[in-house]
Parts: sequence; structure tokens; C-alpha cells
Amino acid sequence: MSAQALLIYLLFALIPTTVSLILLVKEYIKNRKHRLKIDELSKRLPENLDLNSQNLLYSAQKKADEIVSQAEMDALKITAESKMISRSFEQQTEKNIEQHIAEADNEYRKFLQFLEQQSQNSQEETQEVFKQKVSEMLLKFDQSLSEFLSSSQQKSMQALELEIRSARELIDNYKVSQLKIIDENIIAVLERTLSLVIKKKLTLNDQMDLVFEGLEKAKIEKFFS
Amino acid sequence: MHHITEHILATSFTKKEALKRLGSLKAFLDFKFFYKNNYQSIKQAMDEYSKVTNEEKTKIDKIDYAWLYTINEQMFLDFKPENIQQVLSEIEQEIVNQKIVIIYLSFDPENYQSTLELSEIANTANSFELRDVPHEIGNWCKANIDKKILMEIKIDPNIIGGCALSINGVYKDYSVRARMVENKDAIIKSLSEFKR
Repeated sequence: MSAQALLIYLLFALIPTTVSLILLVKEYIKNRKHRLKIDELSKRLPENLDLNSQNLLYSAQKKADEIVSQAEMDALKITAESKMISRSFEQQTEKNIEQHIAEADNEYRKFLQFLEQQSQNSQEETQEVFKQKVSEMLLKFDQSLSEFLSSSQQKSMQALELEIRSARELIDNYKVSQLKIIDENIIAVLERTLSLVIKKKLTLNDQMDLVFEGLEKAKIEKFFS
Repeated sequence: MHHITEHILATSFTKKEALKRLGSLKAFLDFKFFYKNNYQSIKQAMDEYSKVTNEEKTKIDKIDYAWLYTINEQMFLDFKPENIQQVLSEIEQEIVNQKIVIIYLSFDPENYQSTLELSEIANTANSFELRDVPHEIGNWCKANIDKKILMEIKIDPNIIGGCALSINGVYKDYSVRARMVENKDAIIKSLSEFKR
């Protein structure tokens, strides 16, 4: 039996007993007071009245005693009855308590099982959801990563191609500009080369021929007129 | 223009030469009019003059004598003792003001040297002949431009070969360099085949 049930039992057992004891004590105290009162009164009365009064007192006292004994018997009877009632009540209560406790315990166990089941279900569901979420996340991550890598690769390739193209253009432009410079200065180069080489290789006759060619050309162009 | 100026210009190639001959003429006229003035002919005066100057051992080269003898006697008629200086001054001015063509050559006609091997030179016709370049060019100018024209030869190695001309401040290049510049596109085109 649980502590709570025991406490309830004791309460239900002790209450009638206590009530009956209180009643008995009250009766006793009441009778005692009455008796004391009668003794006092008897002491105050004169002696000539004493015999009648003693007889009266004796009869009264006898009746009182009878009443007291009757009361005591009633009290005992009440006490016994109350004990019986309380005992039966205790038993009934105990029985009810045990029954209720058993039911509560049963209900409690059922509830615990239900909770356990619920918890397990919820845990399984959560695990399932979590797995699903994780797999979705991983899938998305994989897709995003592959997309990112492919776009990065594409951008890198584009940038590289652009760089290569601009480098090629630079090289071509440089080549063209250098050749242009060479073309512009080719005459100067040839002049320099020829001035170093031809002057010393031509005979005087050749030189004079060139001079007269120039003079004839100037005459044709009417340079002198 | 005085006749004698025309003669001087026709027989001289450069201004320097013309002025030098003018100087020779002045010296002869001084001799003729102020040394002795009773010559019967100009030739006689010239003979006397050459004799005297040879005796005095002055530095007058033989060319001047030869040139003096080319002067026509008629040309001396312009000269009188009282107007010699004036006429000579006028002649000088005419010479100074005469048109000059400047001819730029790539070589020094006085000191031309070729670096051809001797064997190459031996195989080239007329290579050993010495040529009087200034006179040849001067004669051509007299024959083709103007008999009175004077010339001046300058050296410009940059023209490579041929000549460049300048007259009255106008310069024109007829040299090998100019021909290269004129044919620049053709040269570049032919060189571009090497580039490829």
C-alpha cells in the first residue's frame, strides 16, 4: 500500500476513535463536575436534613451512577460501533483506495506506454524527416556545387580565351607596328647601307654617269628655267 | 651686261674662278694703261705683260695667260684709263649677281678613291682615266643650261650617288637617295617577300 493510501486509511481510522474518545471524556468531565457539585451541596446542607437529603442524594447519586454507567455503556457501545464502522469504513476505504490505486496505476502504466509509443513514433518520424531533409540538402548541395564548378570552369575558360585573344591581338599589333616602323625607316636603312657600301664600290665613271643622269633629268623637268 | 662680263662668265665655271679672272684682267689693264700705254695691239700688250710678270716671278698661273689671250680686242674698247675702276666694279657686280647652280655630289671630285680591287679596276674600261669632274660638269651646264651660268660643287655624302641641285634657293634631289624614296613602295613590296 502506498504512503498516500496509508495516510488516508489512518485518517479514516483515527477520526471516529478520536470522536468517541472526546465524547467519553466530555461525559466523564460532566459527571465529575456534577458529582463534585453534589458533594459540595451535601456538605453545605444542615444535619437534620441530612438523612432525607442523604437518602435523596443517595438515590440521586444512585441514579446518577446508573446514568453514568448507562452513559458509559452507551459510550462503550458507541465506541464499539464507531470502531466497527470505522473498521468497516477503513476496510471499504482501503479497498476502494487499493482499487483506485490499481486503476490509477494501470492507467498510469497505460499512459506511460502510450507516451513511450508516442515518443518512439515521434522519434522515428523525426529521424525519417531528418534523413529526408539531410538527403535533400546533400542533393541540393551536390547540384549547387556541380553548377558552381561548371560555371566557374566556364568563366575561367572565357577569361583565359579573352586573355589569349587580347595577347594575340597585342602581339599582332606590335608586329604590325614594328613592321610599319621598319617600312617607314627602310629607306633610311637602305640609305645608310648604300652610303657605306656603294660609295666605295662605284668607280668614278659610274659616279659621273649618275651625276649626268640627274642633270639630264633636271633639264627635262625644266628645273633650270 | 658688259661683253667682257659675258666672256668671263662663259669661260669660267665658278664664281671664284670668274672673280679670279677678273682680278687677272684688272692686273693686265693696270699694266696696259699705267705701265706702258703705247702698245699697238692688245696682243702686244699681253706679250709684254707675260714677259714682265715672268721676270717678276709673280704667282700668276699659266691658265690666266691663256685666258687673257681669249679676250677679244673689241672687248677692251670699253676700258679707258678714267673708267677702269668703275667698269671693273660693274663687271664684278654682274659676276656676283649672276645665277649660280649649286651641285651636290656624294664624292669629293678632287680626292675620289674607290675601294674596288685592282683586278676589278683593271677590268673596268676607262677606270684609270682621270676625269676633270668640275670642268665636265661645268661644260655640261654651259651647254645645256646657260653659257653664262656659274656653278658651285658641294659634298653631301648622304645622297649616296648622283647629284642634287639648288638654284635660286630651290632645292631638288636627283640622287640615288631620291630614287629610293620615289620607289619606296616597290622596295618595301620586294622586301616584304623576304619577310614571308
